[in-house]
This record gives sequence, C-alpha cells and structure tokens, in this order.
Amino acid sequence: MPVFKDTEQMYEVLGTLFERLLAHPDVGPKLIASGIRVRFYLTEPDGEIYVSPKGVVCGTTEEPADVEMTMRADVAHAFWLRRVNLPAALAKREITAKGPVANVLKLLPLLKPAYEMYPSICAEKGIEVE
Amino acid sequence: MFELSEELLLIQKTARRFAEREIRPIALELDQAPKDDFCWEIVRKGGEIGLLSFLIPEEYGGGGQAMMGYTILLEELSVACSGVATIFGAHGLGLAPILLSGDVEAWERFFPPVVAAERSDRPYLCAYAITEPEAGSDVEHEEGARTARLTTWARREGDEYIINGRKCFISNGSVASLVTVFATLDREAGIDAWTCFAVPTDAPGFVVGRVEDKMGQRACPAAELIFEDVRVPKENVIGGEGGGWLLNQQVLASSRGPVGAIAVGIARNAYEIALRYASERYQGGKPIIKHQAVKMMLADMAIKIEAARLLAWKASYLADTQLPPPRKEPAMAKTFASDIAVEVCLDAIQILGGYGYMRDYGVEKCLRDAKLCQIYEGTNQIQRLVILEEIERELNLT
Repeated sequence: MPVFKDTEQMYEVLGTLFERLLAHPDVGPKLIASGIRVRFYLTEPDGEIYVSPKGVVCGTTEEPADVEMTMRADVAHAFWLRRVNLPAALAKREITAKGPVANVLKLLPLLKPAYEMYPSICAEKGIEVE
Repeated sequence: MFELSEELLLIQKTARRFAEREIRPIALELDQAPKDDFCWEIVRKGGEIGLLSFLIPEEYGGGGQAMMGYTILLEELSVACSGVATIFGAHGLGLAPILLSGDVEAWERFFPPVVAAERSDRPYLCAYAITEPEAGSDVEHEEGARTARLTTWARREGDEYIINGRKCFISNGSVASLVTVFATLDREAGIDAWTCFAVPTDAPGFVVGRVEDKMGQRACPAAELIFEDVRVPKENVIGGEGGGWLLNQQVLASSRGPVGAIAVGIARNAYEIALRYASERYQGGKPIIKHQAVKMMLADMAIKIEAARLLAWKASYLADTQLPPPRKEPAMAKTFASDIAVEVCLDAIQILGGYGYMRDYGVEKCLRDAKLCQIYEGTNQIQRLVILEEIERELNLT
C-alpha cells in the first residue's frame, strides 16, 4: 500500500519539505544560488513537484526545468528517510534523471538538513514512520 | 552541440599545455623505465593544476567536473603519454564508486584527504580493484558475472569487515593510498553479494604483490594486490552491502567515454607524428604527403580519430545527463576508439617506415599503448556483447 493516501497528501509532505529546505538558513541560500530547477515526476500517487530558486510548485507547471527526476512516491519517501541505496535504485531504474545530473550530485551535501527534517514533517502530516 | 563550452575549452587548453610542457619531454623515458619505477613528480605537477581533485565536488574543494570534462582532459594528456593519462584516469576510476554512491558521509570521509594532499610531496592516489586472476571479463558483463565467483571475500565482525583475497592488474595499485575494492560477502551467492569497500593501503594486511612488466602504458603501474585479514570499519562500505555489482555497472558506464578518449589521444599522437613526418620526408622528389597512397592513409586516420572523439564525447555527455548512465554508447565509444587507435598506430608506423619501427620516434610506443585500450575496462569482445544486449533491449527482443 502506498505511503501517501493521495496526491494531496504527497504534495503536503514533500512540498513542505522543499519549502523548508529553501527557507533553511544555511542551505537555502546555497540552493537558491545554485540556480538549479528540478521537476519531480512522481507516481502512485501521480503528481509533479517543481523546485526552483523562486519556490515550490506542487502540480503541473510550464516552468522550464534543468533536471527532471522520475520515481514512485514511495521511493521518494524512502529516499528522504535515507533508506534508498542510490546506485541500486538508479541501476534498477527506480529513480531516473535527465539533465545535468552532475550538478544534482553536487547538491547532495546540501540535502543533509532535509534528511533530518523529513521524519518530523511526516509526523506533522500524519504519516507514520517506522 | 558541436562546440565545447568556455569551461571545457579552458580545460582542454590547460591540459594541452600541461601535456606538452610536462609530460611529452619525459614520455619515452617513462616508457622505458624499469617496471617498479613510478614518476611521483608528474603526479605532483598534475596535482598543482587540480588533476587529482578534478571530479570531486566543489563543496569539498575539488574541481566539480563531470565525465565530459574528464574526457577532454584525458585525451589531451594521452596525446603526450597515455601511461600518464591512465595514472590520472585510474585515480578517477578509484574515486568513482564513492562519487556515484551519492553517500555524502562517504564523500566527507574520503574526498578531503585527496584534496588536502593534492599539492603535497606525496599526493593521495586512488585505484579501482575488481579484476581477479579467475575473474576478468566475468566481472564486466552480467552473463559472466552471474556465474562468476569473486574469490576476494569479506566477512563482518562487529563494526568491521575483514577482507581476504587477491586482485590483479590493478592500475595504480602499487602507489595508491586508497583502493575501492570489490569483494563478495558470500562466495556461493553470486552478484547479489558483491560489495564495494574503500580500503586504505596502510591498513595492516594490505600487501602489494607483483608489479607487472607491461607492454604499454608503462608509466602507470599495474599491480597484484593481496588482502590478508584487512580490517575496515563498516562505514567503508560504498554503495551498501550487496550493492557492488550495480555500482560497478554504473562506474563502468561512466568511465568508458573517458577510456575512449585515452585511445583517441593515442591515435592523435600517432597521426600527428605521421603527418609531420610525411610533410618532411622526401621520396621521388617531393614530400611523401604529396603521394596519393600516403594521402589516403592520413585522411582515413583523420576520419577515424574524429569519429572516435565524437563517440567518446557523446558517451560522456550522456553519462553526465542521464541517471542511470546508458551502457550502449559508452561501450561503443570505448570499442571503436580503441580499435581505431590500433589501426591508426599501425598506419602511422607504416608511413614512417623503418623509422616508425624504432623507439626514438614514439610511434611504436603508441601502438603498444593502444593495445591496452582494447583490453582494460572490459575487453572489446565484452563491449560488443553489451552493445547487442542494449540493442535487443531497445527492440524488445529479449
């Protein structure tokens, strides 16, 4: 059974995560300075989340993206809980990315606060984390 | 699409200058040195211009470059000496599992020593160790890997792993400070038990065995590595327990464009020597370049080099813009570039005639160097299997 009961709940959880990351006092300015625009295509439940220096858009937008990442919502959830083996997930095509992915890899060190924030965001939004 | 960015042009220009000023003057000397000699001086000089931290993210003080930049860099170094290019290439290959693991904690542990020592008297080199005496092509291709039995194995004891076994033909193996080693957690379990470990070479039980006396690319040592109860902390697992095979696949898919570029560099060197010689050597009252038979050979050499370079660039472009990196194009680039490199070197020797067969002109070195590109990082026969597998997959024939 999928972690998120519907698209709305997924947007609520993941959208909040990205908004807080952009507002984070240390990481936010660096993410904004990177200028990178990422579109996540999520499935089960289906949806799109667009993250750019301008902010977070949950839902379809025509805004251009540098990198497009596709994954099941459950995989995204597991990723933020640090339960995804990235090379294995990529090799099995559970996560795919198009665009200057080297730039995305460079951003990974900036995501550390997100790993710390995510369980509490899940708790706030009523998602049980085992 | 066919123009390099300003950043890549700068990499090309810097690498070309470094190769001509620092590598070419010593290339023949390095080639003819005893097998145990290693030129730390050229590594130090490379470190001064950031060649050892080239792929490390800027956050950690590195160059933050990706495979396209590495491809441009390695072609230029290889024009002067592919043995030296392979020192830097094998170093990048050793770092690649750590980088591609996406494990930021591993980055924080293993990247800073490389950056810190880059401009020191003893730079911190890396190596990639997967090949074993009984597991060569089998570790490059899934069909073989499913039946292959890595004999290097690791067992967990508390918060440590204990590694035992033997690797062979490991580029930089005898001079590296850190080796990314692939071992199995269960010798009967097949690829699902393969695991990558970052092993510092000062760990007790790590022994450098035989250093090979190679035919070509002699500036870069290839060594046997022996692991006798080598203990590493559990944090040195790269890409997770059992993640070794999938990590290896991604590393090789990313690195085959740069390996193709090494072959392109060798071919370019041979071609440029032949072109120069053909312009200066008179026979029948005119430079031999004015003879149609020689023109044809030189034109074919130029075509092959250009085509191989474009394949290498495309492979690295795709590796930089797609995750997971594709397998077909890098295999094509590595295969084609190394095959044409051998052909171009043979033709260059032919154009130089008797002089080409002698060591002084450096073309026979090119041929010896080029041959290795058909063998390492998966033989070209294995590459062709990969290419067809991918084509069959695309056509839903599997």
